Amino acid sequence: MTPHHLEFNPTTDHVARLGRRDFLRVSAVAAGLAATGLASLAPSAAWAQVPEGISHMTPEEYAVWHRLMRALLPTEGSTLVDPETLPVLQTVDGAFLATLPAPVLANLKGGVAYFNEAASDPFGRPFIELTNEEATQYCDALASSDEVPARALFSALKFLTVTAYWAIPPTWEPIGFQGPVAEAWGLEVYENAALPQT
Amino acid sequence: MTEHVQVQAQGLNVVEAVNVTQTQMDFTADAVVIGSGAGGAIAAYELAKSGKSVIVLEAGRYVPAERMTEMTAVSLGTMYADHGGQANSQGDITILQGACVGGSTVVNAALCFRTPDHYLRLWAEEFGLTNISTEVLTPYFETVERNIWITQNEAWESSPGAELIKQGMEAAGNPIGHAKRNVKDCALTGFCFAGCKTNRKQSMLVTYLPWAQAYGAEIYADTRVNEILSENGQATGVTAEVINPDTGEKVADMTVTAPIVVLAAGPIQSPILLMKSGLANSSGQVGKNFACHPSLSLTAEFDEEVNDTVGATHSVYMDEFVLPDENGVGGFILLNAIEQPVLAGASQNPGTGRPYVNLMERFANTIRLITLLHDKNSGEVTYENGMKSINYTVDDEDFESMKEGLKVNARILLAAGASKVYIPTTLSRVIESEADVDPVIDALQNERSRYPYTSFHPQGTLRMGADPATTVVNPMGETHDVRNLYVLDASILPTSIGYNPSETVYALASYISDQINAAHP
Repeated sequence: MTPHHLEFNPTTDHVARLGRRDFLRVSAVAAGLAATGLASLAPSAAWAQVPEGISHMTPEEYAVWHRLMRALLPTEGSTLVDPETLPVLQTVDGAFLATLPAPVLANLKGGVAYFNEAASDPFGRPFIELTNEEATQYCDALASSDEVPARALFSALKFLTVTAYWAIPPTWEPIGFQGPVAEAWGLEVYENAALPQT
Repeated sequence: MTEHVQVQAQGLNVVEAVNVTQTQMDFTADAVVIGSGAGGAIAAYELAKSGKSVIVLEAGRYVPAERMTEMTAVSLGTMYADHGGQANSQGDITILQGACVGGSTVVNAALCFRTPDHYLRLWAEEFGLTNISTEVLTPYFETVERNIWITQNEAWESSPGAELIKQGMEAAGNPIGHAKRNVKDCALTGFCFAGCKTNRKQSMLVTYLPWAQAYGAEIYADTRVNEILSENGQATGVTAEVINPDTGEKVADMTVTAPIVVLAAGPIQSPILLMKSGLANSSGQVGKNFACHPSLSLTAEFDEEVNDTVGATHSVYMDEFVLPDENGVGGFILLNAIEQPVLAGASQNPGTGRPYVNLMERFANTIRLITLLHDKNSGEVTYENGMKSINYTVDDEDFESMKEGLKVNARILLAAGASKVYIPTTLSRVIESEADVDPVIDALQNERSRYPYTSFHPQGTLRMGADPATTVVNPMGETHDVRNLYVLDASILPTSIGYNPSETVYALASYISDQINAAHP
């Protein structure tokens, strides 16, 4: 499935810097992170403009995340909300990265760096400098890789990004999801159940 | 005993970290219950009703109906273990458990099954559990079914997707199972996983916990037990800490001195607490025999909008192949489920970029059907250097069962009229016709970090049985090694049962509570 020009081995040179275990730990945290701290996604907290409010990404890391967000969610010409208008990366930063233990966050940051740099093997440029088509090919190649660390890392980064996007209420209307209903439907709140008599 | 009991109309009287002003709290009670989910809540009620003073310690928050949001993303952050991020060490199985007052009963989909007779017989034969036969447990099933309103869905308790899946099951020749749920007058909001904001789900929050309080039980939230104490082989109480969940800062230390300790912290935390306490592991089985029913959800796309976003979270299932085959290899069940986009949108992978956007634009045209694997008890929970690990992967045999389940699943969805069925894998895999089913699914390999599994059913880590050399908990629910230390959660299941284990836990908790009361009149 891997295009010929993308046949690189992510577990050789670059993995030597990070290590397989680091990838797995990143994956273990990120793939299961779901919505850590997403209580902070209340609309009032979610409207600051990127990059304001970004405190756990360096400018370089932010550039990688931003490029990835654009690759994963190319909404131009679609009915979906443009992620540029939403605090997607602020959500990744504040709801996910902010809650990670320091060693795990360090591993994730290493993964982001690797993700960016490993694109140089097939394309001669880091991920942030790829064209849209190249970025898509690169992501698909990682997802299709036979190497566990490569696909685990990409899965984790993708999971965090798209989960952050869909956690933001304005993304729902275009896909027909109405969000909370109990109050809108005027539903009665039930009392506690009666004490059993036997 | 309290003579005139009164159930509070709504909510509970829970001591939360924000209410605590002392830095040291020391209590004495007849029983301390660790955890407030299915097992802990039932034990609290049954013991308090018998006249015992009971203190319930819950590590998670108290989230009553008025604080629920009907936003899964928010609920994951406030009501689930590790903020919804609990996973196996490989990172490809998300293991979702409630971590709040009421435990997983607050955030599950309320689907209930009695323990299959097959397993009660097997447990008698292989684990010496002749005391929990079908005949013995049937009255307990009947009681909990009555108490928490476990009833079969009415015809109107369905969803648009479930109606299509019913058609698919009929067309494919598979039997239709109609869900039984502990929901009273379901409003069909579809928000079970975020907690029922109208208290219609008859979780422990609105049943056994207020009933326990009516008999005098006290409940402390935000309170994590650090150690179970014992002297001369007998439980004597616990030490705990009250932690502010918003800041992570310790508010107070706590001790509870009690001659009865009920451990009901769930199949991940219960073995960890025994490990931290250095107790009950003469068998070497503490933390072992972990199973979790890993599941994969197929997404079906239809030409027309389905709008499967409201309705009963679960309406139908298919359990034709749930029991192990003649070679002992486990089967699977299929369950329909309503999922919010924050869950459904993360697992779909038709390809990077436009294919993903195109699919999500048609979210209203999609439904999901879960394949839940009846796995073997091959994993282990460990605790080292202050870190827990859930060491578990789907083995090759179980993966073959998963593939068989995916095939049946895909055929049902196609028979329902789906134009495309998406396989959740890091690769883009789409089935567009019956002819695709076998070749596409047969080509799947059991590879790590390839499939986004989800599990709601951890179990087995403190298995129950008659032999103290091979099991942790005796047939009465008491640990073999420590007298008066009882375990009352899905940890004690000797084997994976293939179905949602909640009703099994409800019944066993009721049974074991009776054993506790009999031993401690």
